Amino acid sequence: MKILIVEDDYSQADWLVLQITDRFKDYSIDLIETELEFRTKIKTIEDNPPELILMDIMLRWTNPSPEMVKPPIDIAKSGIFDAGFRCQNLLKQSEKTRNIQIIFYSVLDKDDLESKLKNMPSNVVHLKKEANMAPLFNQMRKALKIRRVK
Amino acid sequence: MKSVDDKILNIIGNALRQKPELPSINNLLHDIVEIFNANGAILWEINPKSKRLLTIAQWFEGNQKHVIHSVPIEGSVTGKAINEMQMNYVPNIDRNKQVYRNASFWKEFEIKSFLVIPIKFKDNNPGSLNIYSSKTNPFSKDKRKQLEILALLLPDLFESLRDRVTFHLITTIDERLREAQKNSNRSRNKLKKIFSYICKEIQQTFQCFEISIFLEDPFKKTSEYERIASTWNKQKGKKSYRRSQKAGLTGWILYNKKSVIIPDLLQFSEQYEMIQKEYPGIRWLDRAKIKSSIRGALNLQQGTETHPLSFLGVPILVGEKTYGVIRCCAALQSPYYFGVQELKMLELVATRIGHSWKNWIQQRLIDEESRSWREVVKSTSSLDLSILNELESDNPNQNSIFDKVFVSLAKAIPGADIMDVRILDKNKKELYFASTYGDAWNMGSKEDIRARKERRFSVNNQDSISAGAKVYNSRETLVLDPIKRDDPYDGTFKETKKIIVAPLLEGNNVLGVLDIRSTKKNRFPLPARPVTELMARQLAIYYHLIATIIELRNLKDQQVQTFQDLSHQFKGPINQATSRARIAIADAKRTESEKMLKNLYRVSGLCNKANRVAKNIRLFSHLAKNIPLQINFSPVIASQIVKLSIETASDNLVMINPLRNIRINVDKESFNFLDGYILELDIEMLEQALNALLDNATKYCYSNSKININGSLTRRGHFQIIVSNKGIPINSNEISFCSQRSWRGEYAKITTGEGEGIGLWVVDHIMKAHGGNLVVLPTSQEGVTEIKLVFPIRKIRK
Repeated sequence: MKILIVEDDYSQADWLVLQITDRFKDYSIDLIETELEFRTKIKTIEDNPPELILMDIMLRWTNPSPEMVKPPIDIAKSGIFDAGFRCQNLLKQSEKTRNIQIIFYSVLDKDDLESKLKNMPSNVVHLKKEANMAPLFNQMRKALKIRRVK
Repeated sequence: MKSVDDKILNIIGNALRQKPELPSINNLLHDIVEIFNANGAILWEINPKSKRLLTIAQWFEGNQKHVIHSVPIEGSVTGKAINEMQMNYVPNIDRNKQVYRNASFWKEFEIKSFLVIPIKFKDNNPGSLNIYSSKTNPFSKDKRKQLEILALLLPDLFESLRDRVTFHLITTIDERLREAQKNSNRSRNKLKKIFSYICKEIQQTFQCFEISIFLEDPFKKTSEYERIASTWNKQKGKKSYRRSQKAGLTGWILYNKKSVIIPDLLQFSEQYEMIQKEYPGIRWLDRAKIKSSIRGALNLQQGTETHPLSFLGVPILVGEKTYGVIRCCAALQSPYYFGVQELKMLELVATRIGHSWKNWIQQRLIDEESRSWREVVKSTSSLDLSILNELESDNPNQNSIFDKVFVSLAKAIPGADIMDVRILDKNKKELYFASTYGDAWNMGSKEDIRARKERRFSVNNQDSISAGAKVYNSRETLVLDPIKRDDPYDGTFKETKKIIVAPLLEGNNVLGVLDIRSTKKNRFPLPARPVTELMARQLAIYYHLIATIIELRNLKDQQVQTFQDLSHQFKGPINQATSRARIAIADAKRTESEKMLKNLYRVSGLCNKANRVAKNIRLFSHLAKNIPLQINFSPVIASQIVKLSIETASDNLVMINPLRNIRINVDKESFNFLDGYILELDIEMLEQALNALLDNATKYCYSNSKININGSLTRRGHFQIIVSNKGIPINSNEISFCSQRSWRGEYAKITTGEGEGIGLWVVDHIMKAHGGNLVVLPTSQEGVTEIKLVFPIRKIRK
């Protein structure tokens, strides 16, 4: 059983992995840091889908390296603000990943994302990042329970 | 004869098996009396100072405990025998006129004869063994010979007993103290119980009336030595002493850090001169009425002699520091006179108590410090959340954070009971009370309260005795602990015993001061000053941040997006710092200190990032309103720049993934050319600029690479700081756009996450305000990107 965290800020990712590992001991935790990495690994995700994905919204395209792959023009144009939604869109296209529980976990308010969150399927929820992590853990437990029932 | 020899061996054997208590020597005399068919025995020792013979041990028929305590050397048979070191046998006392007859025991025990055998104690002090009989001429020549042999062994037997007593006492006490330490027993009451046990143990060993331990507890009252443990009735005797020549025997010991031994306090007046010669200025008035207490304890009838009140007092020292005193008074059975050996024994005990008490204080200080810091971390996080709430509320209020800070400080600094924040009225150049904490503020009539709260303090008057005005002008924290008569404190509250005043520093501006007062007599705990400074700094940054945000909300739409981006950047680290702080506190409670430390480093990195963003918001607000940045030049030397670079590097490194294996190297030697020079620049602004460059460098450099910071002179003699790294390239056609707001290079866009892209824009303004330049060089063929902060030559002087 697996939980996938998609988070580009090292400090936050490191903290999330630590806290989630501590509380969800039955699950292994995978981490993806950039949108490009997500796209590269989408096949693997399809083959071995996680129970739950914790998805940041503002994601960088890739990490600096001498052999960086440039993003497609449409992605370059819309920038980082839609990165999480683009990743979710990819998941939606496959039968195997369409129903994975997704929590958009971002500092952005629900109000800021109103248009994008509208008409989201029931397996996708939004939760604002805050200092108290209890609401996240509650939401994760809820999502994992739904997944198990299904 | 053989049977007597056997018995002598028995006496020696018994002596070696005696209980490790000083009065056991009496049992030895009992055995001698029994074997030689005598009626009593006394072991005498000369006190060379008082020129008297003192009873060390005695045994008389009927187990009489106190028979005679001292006789003069001169004019007594015993004195003469000791002086001549010749055995003296008085077969019939009625026929010897030299016999000292003042003592009543001759009649009481119908003594007819006695034998004096001079002996030398281990320290070469002379004394004698006297055997008394109710028969005339009871000791034959043979018996006298045997007794002489026995007497020769007596000092060694006595010493061996003393050594055993010392060993037993010290090991027992050590065991107790070790046990206390092993259990990291930090409760004062539990330690008091251990000290009470030690008192009882010494009492048992010395068979004395009083053993008391007085210690200074810096967490209660300094310079006062409180009775922590005693075998004396708790209601009686003095409960505390000060270090003073005049404060009785105990005060004298504390003042002079010297042990005192007085053979008999009852002879204090008679031997006043002799005592003063050894302990100048010492006084004893029996205010505690120990004499009557002992008579009561022993149930002595009126008219009977009070037995000697021998006194020992030892300072409890560790190095030069006096922690307290241990005193011992009045043996209830012989040996009645405490000697140098007993003093040494007590000194050993005092050393152990001193170390144990010192450890306890240090442990308490560590606990106190950890507790204070935990409270600070906790309150920083709660303060951070309040800021977020204010940022998001419709009508942000600057004063909302004060109350939270006061509550936190009251928890972090024990004794902080009167607090306030004074803010500068820029027009009148006066400090006024913006917020207050503590019941004292609301004491008295309505008029009193209003007058108190409406007081103002001019910051223009350099001679002002206001601590607030002094701190405002010096920008330095002031600690008055305790407040002395000449201190700059004009006393809003007369009952204040100590005060910390810290400046509310936001950048180079002083917004006001934070006052922490205490009406308690004990000192502020060690971390009180840094805790106050830290909270004052946080308070100033956030107070100003809210003010800035209020202003920004009124700006045009074009600024709004940048402001929102900045706010998001701010929320991230603040949220996480808060969350981490909570876990760190939980860890600390479980004493996983290493884990806690790691976490606290990260909290510090996150808070630093939040503060950096907060500063960027402030600078952005100025620049957006076309207000030029205000630069406060101050003299700076090379080592300060190196230190700043190292600290900034470390703050940035803690925020990046260690798997990327990025190192930051500060080339200290490259700054050596500045030795002997003084630069004039705004160090806070330099920190902000360096942080922005390193934030970019860590963001855009390749994994497994190194970021270099070095200093050099340009060809024109300008001083420059260069940050270089291998990473995402900047093309030559992009150079001119680098310092534009919200601009990002072609490759940088690919790798950038959230962020407002105003870093270099702010740095450019900082450098221009210094009269210098931000220089970005296009990436070299080797792939190295260099960014330089160039300062003008006129700002360098020898």
